[in-house]
Amino acid sequence: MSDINIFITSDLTSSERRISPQWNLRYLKEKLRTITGIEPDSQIIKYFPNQYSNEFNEIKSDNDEELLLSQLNLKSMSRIHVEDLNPDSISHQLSNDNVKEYKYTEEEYKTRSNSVLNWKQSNKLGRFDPEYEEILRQTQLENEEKISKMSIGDRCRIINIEGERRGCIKFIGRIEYLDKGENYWIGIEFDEPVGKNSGYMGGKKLFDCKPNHGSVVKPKQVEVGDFPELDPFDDDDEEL
Amino acid sequence: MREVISINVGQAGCQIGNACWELYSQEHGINPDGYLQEGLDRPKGGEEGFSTFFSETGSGKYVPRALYVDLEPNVIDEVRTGVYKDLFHPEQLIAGKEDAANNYARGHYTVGREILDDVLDRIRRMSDQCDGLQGFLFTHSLGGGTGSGLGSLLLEQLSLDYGKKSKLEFAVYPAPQVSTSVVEPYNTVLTTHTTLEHADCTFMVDNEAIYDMCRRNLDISRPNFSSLNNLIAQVVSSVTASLRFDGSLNVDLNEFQTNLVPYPRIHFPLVSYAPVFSKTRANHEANSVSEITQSCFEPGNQMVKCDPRSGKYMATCLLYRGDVVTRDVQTAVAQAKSKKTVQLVDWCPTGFKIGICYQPPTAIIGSELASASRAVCMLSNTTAIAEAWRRIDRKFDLMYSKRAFVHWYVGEGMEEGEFTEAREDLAALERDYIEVGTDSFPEEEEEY
Repeated sequence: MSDINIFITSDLTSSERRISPQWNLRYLKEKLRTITGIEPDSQIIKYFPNQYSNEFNEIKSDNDEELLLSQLNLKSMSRIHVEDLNPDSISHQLSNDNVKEYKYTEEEYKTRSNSVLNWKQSNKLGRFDPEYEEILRQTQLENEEKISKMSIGDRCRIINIEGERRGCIKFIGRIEYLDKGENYWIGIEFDEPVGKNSGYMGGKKLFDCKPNHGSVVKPKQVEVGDFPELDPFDDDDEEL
Repeated sequence: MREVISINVGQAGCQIGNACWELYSQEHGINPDGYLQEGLDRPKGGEEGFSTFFSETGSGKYVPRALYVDLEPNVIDEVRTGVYKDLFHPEQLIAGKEDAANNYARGHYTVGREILDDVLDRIRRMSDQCDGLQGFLFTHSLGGGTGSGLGSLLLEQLSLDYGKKSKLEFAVYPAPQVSTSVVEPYNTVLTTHTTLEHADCTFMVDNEAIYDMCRRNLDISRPNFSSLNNLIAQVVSSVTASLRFDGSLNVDLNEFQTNLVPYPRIHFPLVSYAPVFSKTRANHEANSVSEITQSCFEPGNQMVKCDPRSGKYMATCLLYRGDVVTRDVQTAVAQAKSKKTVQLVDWCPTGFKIGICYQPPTAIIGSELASASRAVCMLSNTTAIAEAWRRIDRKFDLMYSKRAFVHWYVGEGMEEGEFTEAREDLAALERDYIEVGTDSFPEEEEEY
């Protein structure tokens, strides 16, 4: 007789397994132990002929060695669910989640020779590249210079993939919520509802703004100047 | 010639192997008995590529360059008596008598060790038949006893015996929600630690991701192993198509490593595949090059559950097959690159590598997956896959902090120190991924 594919489930596991009808119940229990972690003596074995139905019968015997699985008429794609009688067993303990996580310190990582960190260091990649700091400093300088020429209330525009959007500067400063205050950000209230926010960031109010008219962006994107409100119907007229 | 030997280990490995060889045979026009289909005078897709995966006997019969290994006899017995029984030489099918009982230590130290010499001997004989062996393709599970234990033992041995030959793996990674056995997290961490320096490139598939795909896209309400494995075979076939069919762009096993792996430990590319449609849906779905490419960036088409939007890409290979023209591919790739959600690591060279194989995919007979005129398989080395390691490491910690079932391993002669050593290595791997993701230049185009 060939193997039967049966789903084995327990509180901690679920898998499709091959069961041989020639096994006796004792052997099945041994197998179930290595799958579910439940000791044979503590196993309650429930057989569900239909894996999605709640109807089951319990498989048990006074003599596990004598009961052959072929006597049980097990069906392909049915389900066997195993429960644990022992309230102190390890599989019960594993069901309640208090994980003591493995601690691996920065120092331990630094001492490893085959690590990405070590590779970056020895090949001068990323922050170990002398040019990296230079580029970062440069970007920061550019941003600071731009900011020095901006004031709250200035008219401005942003041009990117979404096209040109005009508005008014409402906020200049760092935002803890976005990047732990690492960079300067510019808050803008657009003339149209084309923004990503309404003046709030992480539940905190940054600036006064009509709903969906606000956005915060990096200084590099912002162009300050004489950019009056666009008449949305202007363009259409010209094209006609 | 540039031969590749496939080694399928454990129940999952052997069953996926079955699905793959069935598909390969159909793709190349080989009957289940190993002879050419009627009307063909040579295998489909060109003999040179074909011969990397099949050898020819004097009588015109073709034999897969494959080895099946399992510690218990049942799965292999099925190959011996199944439809494809004549395809394989009996020497290619190795089965022990006693299973690994879901225990890495039994697969690696006790039961597995007993058949090791026999397996290595057969591999040696197969490699002797090759003119220029490229390397090995492993399929095994990380969570089972034989797949994890014996699989890693073989990879270690092949490193010793065959030095620099490429070793690629297709590995079944534990599903995020439920474990298939209570000690699955142990097996996974132990085998990953052992193989980390021996495998060149590992493609992971998580059964839950495949299961969801079968339900959602193929309308299979109750997927079983056979539905899952047929889908996995389709993906494996896409990855190996360029090696098996003449005229494809990348034809070397080691190119996967060259193109995808910037640093040896970071060798777990995320695999996505499109299109995945059932036959009833196929007629209602568009299937342009651009659309299937976009689909690969959707989590529903991934073989491992994780969120690539939260990670950074180091390298990407897009392997197209079927009715595909280069210009459409270039447009599709340009679209993909311009996506805001696709962030690249910018302190090391990254790239989009394209492979085109003009042989369209073949639907496995009896499979629910509709045939398609074109398909794409995306391999992307993204830091998002570290999520998978974090998940399994936490599960390991939950068990190991209580020393649960550790005696099963120690009882097989494994030293307890191997647990902590493996866990430390995986902790370092998590750090490695974090380190890959840092030091990118600040994004200047963000908007919140």
